[in-house]
Amino acid sequence: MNKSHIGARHPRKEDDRLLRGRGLYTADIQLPDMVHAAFVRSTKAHADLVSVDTQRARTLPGVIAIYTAADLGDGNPPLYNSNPHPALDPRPPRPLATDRVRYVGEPIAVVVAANRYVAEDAAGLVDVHYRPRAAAVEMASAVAEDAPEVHEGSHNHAAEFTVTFGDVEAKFRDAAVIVRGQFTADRASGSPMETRAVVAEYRRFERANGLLTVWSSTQMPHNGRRALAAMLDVPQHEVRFIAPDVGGAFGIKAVFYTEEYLVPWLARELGRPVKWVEDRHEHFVGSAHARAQVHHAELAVAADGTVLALRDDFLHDSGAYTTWGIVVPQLTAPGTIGPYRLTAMRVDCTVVFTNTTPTAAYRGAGRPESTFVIERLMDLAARELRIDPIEIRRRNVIHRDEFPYEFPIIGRDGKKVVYDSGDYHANIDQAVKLFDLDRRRADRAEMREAGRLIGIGCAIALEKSGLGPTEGAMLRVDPQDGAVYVFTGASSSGQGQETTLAQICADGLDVPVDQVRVVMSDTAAFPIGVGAIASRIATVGGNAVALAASSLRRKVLAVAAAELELDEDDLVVRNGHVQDGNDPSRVLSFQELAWRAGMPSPGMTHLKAYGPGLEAVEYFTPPGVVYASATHLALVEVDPATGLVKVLDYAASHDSGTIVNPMIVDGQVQGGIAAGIGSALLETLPYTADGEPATTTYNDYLIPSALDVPDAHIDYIHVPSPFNPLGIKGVGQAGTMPVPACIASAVDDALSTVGDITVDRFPVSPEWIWEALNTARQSRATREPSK
Amino acid sequence: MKPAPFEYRVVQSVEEALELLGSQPGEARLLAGGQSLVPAMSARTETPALLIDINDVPTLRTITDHDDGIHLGALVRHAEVANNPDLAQNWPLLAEAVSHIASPAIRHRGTVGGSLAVGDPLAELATALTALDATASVASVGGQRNVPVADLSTAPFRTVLTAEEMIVAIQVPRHHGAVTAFHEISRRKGAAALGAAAVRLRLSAGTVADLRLALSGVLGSRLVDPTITDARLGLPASELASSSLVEDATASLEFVDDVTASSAYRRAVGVAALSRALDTALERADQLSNPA
Repeated sequence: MNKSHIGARHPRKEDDRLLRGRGLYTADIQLPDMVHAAFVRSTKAHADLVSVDTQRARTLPGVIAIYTAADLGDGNPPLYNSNPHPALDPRPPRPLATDRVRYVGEPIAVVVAANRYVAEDAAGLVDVHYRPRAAAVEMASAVAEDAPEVHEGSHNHAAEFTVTFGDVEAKFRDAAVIVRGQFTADRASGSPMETRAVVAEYRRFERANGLLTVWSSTQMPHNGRRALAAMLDVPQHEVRFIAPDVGGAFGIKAVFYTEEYLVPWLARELGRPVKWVEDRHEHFVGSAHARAQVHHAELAVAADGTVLALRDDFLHDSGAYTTWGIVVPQLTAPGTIGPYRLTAMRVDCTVVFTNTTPTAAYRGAGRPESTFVIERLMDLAARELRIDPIEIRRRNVIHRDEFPYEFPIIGRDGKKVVYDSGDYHANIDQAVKLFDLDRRRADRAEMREAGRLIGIGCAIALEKSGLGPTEGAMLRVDPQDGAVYVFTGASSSGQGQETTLAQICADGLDVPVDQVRVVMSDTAAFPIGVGAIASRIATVGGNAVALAASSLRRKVLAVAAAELELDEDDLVVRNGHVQDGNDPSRVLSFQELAWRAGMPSPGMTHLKAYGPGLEAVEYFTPPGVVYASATHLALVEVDPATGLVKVLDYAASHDSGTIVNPMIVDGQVQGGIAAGIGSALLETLPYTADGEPATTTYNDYLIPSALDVPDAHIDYIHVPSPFNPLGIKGVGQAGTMPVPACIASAVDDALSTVGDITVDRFPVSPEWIWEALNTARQSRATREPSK
Repeated sequence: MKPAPFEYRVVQSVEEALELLGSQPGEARLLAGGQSLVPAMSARTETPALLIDINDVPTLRTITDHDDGIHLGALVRHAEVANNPDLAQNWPLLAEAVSHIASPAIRHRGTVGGSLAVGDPLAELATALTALDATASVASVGGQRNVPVADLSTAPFRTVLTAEEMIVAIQVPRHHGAVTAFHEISRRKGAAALGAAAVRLRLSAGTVADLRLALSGVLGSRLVDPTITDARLGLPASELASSSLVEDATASLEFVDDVTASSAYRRAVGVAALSRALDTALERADQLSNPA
């Protein structure tokens, strides 16, 4: 196959419209007769709803309708559960709270008005009478015997599960060293630049019962259609779900939310298009949160540094409902193996209900957490055994000759955990080279001489990616403009998938990338689709496009052979044309071929041997997941007076198998590192003891800016995955996953000249470091009173 | 996040603004740069019945030189403070402080008067202006009064301004021969500070002849008790750092305690900011007396 397009730094096809401000986001959609929705949301963490009085609000001029749960009647079914699981006690919310609210931000009523201003005025006039209940806020107290219950009879346990293999007890008995710790990942927000938004329109006279068209800033339009059709009990073909340009999603827009049900419901009920655009305050309380885990973990290690067994018992905060099932903790549990040749492990997980905003996936989805646990333990083992932290990793990572490497446990995808391919040693070697480790160590020594707190950290993460079940693509050459149209159920939330898929198509067909048009994120474009989650679009969607391109190429050759009256073997496909290999003057363009393969005049009999239309449909259904990997190294400085951490330099070596567009992949890795630095040092969503969110603006919720993130040294090794024809592995999250562990490792190292300090949480605040420094200085002063 | 209904009036003069302000005491708010007020209105934590837009009042927009110093109109934007050559020459502390305010977009809208009127304990300009002994001219229908910037804010987001009053100008006196320094510590560039310190120092024959210190992130006045700084007058500059000045200056201050940081931690930050600002000021004083 010609590889001139796969691997090229092709400028993004999306950029022309996006950089010129000509993108179409959901909030840009204006429809005739459109009205606007605003929500009344709970201001209490946990309370009975005594009454919701809309009388005053209804009298406001411009108000069109107000609905409470009572007004919705049987139009208020539990929200569709996208991720059922046998271990899960599903507690989905209803679109509007009925008799009880369980978190600040839970929708109680919806107002529809002529514009958003009036809608918010009216929302402010809805009188909600609460009878407060005690709230369960912190996970540790929520699972206590006498804790207030978020859901009756649940004991605040949403799920419990165990992942285990090998003789853990024996390995711990035999260990030369056992290292352990409590590790905490704070609650975070996905913070896409574009908040969520939904517009819906109902056309009564289209289809049997009318057609509902929904534009939503979602990662999963096909799941949106499935959920909405199920909740409305209408055939799926009477719902069209479209994700227009999406300004970032990062996992939290995978969820099917209340608003994606209610806005279409209102459009159908009122017979008018309805728009709702989430504002930033709503985003902080009403869109899914993430992370929020507490681990108690220990690692058994032999005297030579060989890791033997891992034990981990962790709590995962589900928030008030089971919005994303147990997908995230199911990724965390086997994720704690990391790249290591572990022979025994036992991970116990309890998924906990609390009176807080429900949680879902956010970039990394449970793996920044699992990576933090195993990598912190590796650092502790290295410290305990006085082995170089990079050396102990080299001794334990799976060797390149051992793939596929199987663990006798079942993964989140329902199949046995099998690492498809990799070369972790090569990745470590390249990271060390990129970072110029020897020189950095010399620099560190020199800067320490000058009294500065300088540290070097490292971490390795695996990105389980390219998850199933499937994606499909239909390729069609348009007889009018000759462009190759790719219709696919794969979707995009702004990562450049139109370009990536176009490059794969161009490569398979040998047409210029500019001649490929990708139509996606619309259930009317292609009927079956999963969506832009789990770093899967290039892997699963890309291979579907490659299969379809190969199938279409066969059709192109069949048509050209018939039209040119030649054997297919005598034909050459080049740059959007097919020519006679012996006589280049005999040539037909794809457009001409599509025209000829189209239809003869109406009523004529089709005389050609090939079927009508220049098109092909294929699906790719992966046999298993693929594991990308990343080794990161960081150089940090800690301010001894304030505990502030500055990231001075950063290097990242990644294996994502075959890379389609290195420019896009560079952006994913650099952006992933930026998000990781936010998770490592800045981003947290604390609650008060009463369950009030303490951080609801960007004044308090700090995301790193370009000024806080170093320009990382990034390079790749390429170990193609054997699990798909193109050899692709995902890359959307691998940039983020190792960062909290890597920064923590570097901070420990920076503080090591003062004392033995272990960063056991992310983010780690400067105040935490300052306190740790004070404690270490005091204990040193006590130990060495004479100095 | 849409504001509640309000009446919007554009005024052409200070008199007109004051008259409207006095007509609905407590219900009317002035719109200057809008960088604090407008987001608060969108969040409906501020719901003024009347919004008086003073952006078209020409007399509020000027920077004028006087014998006793410079007068900044209340509507002077942060970016104008940063870019004014006269200020850069004679009051470099202001531009140094402004460089820490949020982002360029906000600095192009936000105003000096607006910042002072909000009373944010972490605001940079109030800290710098306090160290410069600046005074705010405060007007109402009843007349005008001068309030030292140091006394303007009494507690976080509280000021001595009544509902009928507005800041019209800030007078910044000259400090011949003095050097200044500003040091801010924040968790992220452009984010609200954890704390900051401003120093004004003049040496005469190697000894301290004038010294003023101001700190942000404190409750009440930002000005370090002048008896503490005046006690160092006459001290050789070389002994200033070791004279327990920073400890004495911060000992009696009470620091802000909030979701971002405890007061104990903010004290440590204040100590660090002040030590560093003082070091910079001493270096600058040294350069001034021994130009390379």
